[in-house]
Amino acid sequence: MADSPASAHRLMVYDTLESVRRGVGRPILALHGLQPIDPAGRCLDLLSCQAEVIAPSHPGFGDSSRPDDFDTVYDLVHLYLDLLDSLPHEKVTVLGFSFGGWLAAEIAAACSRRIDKLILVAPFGIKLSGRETPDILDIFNTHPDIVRAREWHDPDRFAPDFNTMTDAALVRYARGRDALCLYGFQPYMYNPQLRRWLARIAVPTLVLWGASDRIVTPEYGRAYAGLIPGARFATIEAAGHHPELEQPDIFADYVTSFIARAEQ
Amino acid sequence: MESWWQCEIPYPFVPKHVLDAADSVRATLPNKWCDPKSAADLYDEVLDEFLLCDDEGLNVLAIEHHAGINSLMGANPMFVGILARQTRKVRILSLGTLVSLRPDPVRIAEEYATADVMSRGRLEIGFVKSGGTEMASNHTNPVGNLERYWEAIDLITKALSHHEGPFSWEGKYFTHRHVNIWPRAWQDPHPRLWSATGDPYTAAEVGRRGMVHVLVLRGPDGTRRAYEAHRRARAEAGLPKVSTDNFAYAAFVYAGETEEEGRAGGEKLLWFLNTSLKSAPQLSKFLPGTIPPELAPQVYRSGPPPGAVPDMTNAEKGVVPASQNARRLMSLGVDEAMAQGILFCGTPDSVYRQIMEFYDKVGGFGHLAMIGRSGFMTHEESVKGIKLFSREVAPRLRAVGPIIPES
Repeated sequence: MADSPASAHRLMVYDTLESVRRGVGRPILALHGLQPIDPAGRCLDLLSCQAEVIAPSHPGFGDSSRPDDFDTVYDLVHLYLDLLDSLPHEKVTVLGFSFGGWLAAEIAAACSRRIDKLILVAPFGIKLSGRETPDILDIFNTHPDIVRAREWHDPDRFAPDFNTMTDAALVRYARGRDALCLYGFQPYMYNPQLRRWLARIAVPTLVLWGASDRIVTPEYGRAYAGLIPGARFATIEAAGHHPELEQPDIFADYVTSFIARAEQ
Repeated sequence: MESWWQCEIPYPFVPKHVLDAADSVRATLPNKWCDPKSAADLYDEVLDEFLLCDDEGLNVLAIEHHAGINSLMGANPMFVGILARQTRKVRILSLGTLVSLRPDPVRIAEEYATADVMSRGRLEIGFVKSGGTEMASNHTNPVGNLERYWEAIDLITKALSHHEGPFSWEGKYFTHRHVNIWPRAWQDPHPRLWSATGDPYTAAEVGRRGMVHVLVLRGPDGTRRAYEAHRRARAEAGLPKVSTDNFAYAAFVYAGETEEEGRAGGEKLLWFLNTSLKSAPQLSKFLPGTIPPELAPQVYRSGPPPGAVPDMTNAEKGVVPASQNARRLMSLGVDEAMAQGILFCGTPDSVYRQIMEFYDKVGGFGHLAMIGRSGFMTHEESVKGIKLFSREVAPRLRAVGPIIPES
């Protein structure tokens, strides 16, 4: 297999990605969303006590390069399907946040056989409301003060502060915004077809939502979970769009107990 | 040097308290503040001014901006169509319908070919890259805009110059299985092409393509750098040198009978800078794709980081993002605007002298795109300015023929 064209392609794309790998045990593939997965953050510390966490930065985000013709969610989904096939583990838990939750849902709908559990945290990806009601706040077309207020339960404590971020962090942030806009601009952060195919997801699924999330509301999350057979839905208090950052301990409890329970 | 008169048809009648309270006077300001009767009067006046330019032998230029007080010319092809039919002598520059924002460049080629034929070959076609508020108003992904811009230009150029039946286009951004426009363009192979850009990378491509390169309100340093990037790119590609006829500059211009009258006109033109550039951060500095991410540390912070020293990298490379340029321009007064080479005003003698001083600073240019009316300038004032300029200044500029600078 090592010399097959598919494996050569995998090397070309995946090996260029910046990736955090931490911990030992059953693997979790963590797909980030609007905010990066902080290698020094508490969430990763907690999860990596229980599992081997593999957290790549998507092409174009962080320090990951993006090939010129790599510019759609289709590309990202196939990149991670490719990665799942290349990992030595028979099955992997996929944990997707926000935009990365959309990717995780697409991946699970396309191919559940390499996934043992699916955890979606405030995922984007589907259209629920009427044509004049956006489900997901357009962060590119909304004043940054409003985005900040709607993204976090406690923005003063958690929202990134451009005036104190390092130059390198700001460059990473700007790269990520460009990449996110490229992948998710049209239609804005959803695939009109995905809603229909969520029913294909055939693995135990947990959908988690920050109770204060106003980027995309818990009501959307509840409906999203309802479209995935057998999915559980839970909200985390005192958290906005990033419960893993605002309530990492409670978040990690949900994740680890879900993994343990699903294993039984 | 050829002169091209323009008015962007701004809509200055929105109450100041409304403008002050709005975070953007473009893209997001509700159109309840635009009275159709006032807009119709403006259209009448400015179209009459364009026709006066035709009588006076002054070329005309129509821009396009969307959904804001800065311009009611959202539908550039409609103006170009009117000008193609109603003017009789002068050349008409569309600068231009915003090609990277429109889904089908073939329709643009069709519109331009129609105007070229109506005007019997007096059309010139300019391309503009578009800014953040335009992206929002036209539902366009700001990331990839420049690639889309060039592909649209390629498709338009081919559609205008291909005469042998349908061809197919399967590009990255545009697909069209059957391109065969009627009428074909009057000018062969197509009308002259212009492109407006201040950044040196796009300037280089404009140079390699041999388009007329127009700088808008960039002042002498930025303009000279962009022209140099254009020439350098041609030299590096082994292409022949181009004359000053390949270069254009757009500025506010008003000639009055006295210095005071000219300056008063100039001051009215600055309304455009002081009032109509205000744009919300999500439509300007935070809009994805508008700056290279490496510039984020300079652009995103609201103040310098603690202990920072001024970073001149940006200035030296000449990469001033349009949003930064806009912020710099918003607070200018007449003297400052004149000193920065974005306003030429005064008596005809004085205006001519200022233009030629600028000409010398940037290494020469063959076209002056003059913003001759803006803000609260009246129709009568505009008419007076057009007449004085076209009679007293334009003939002297016309005597400045194209040259190929030594270096």
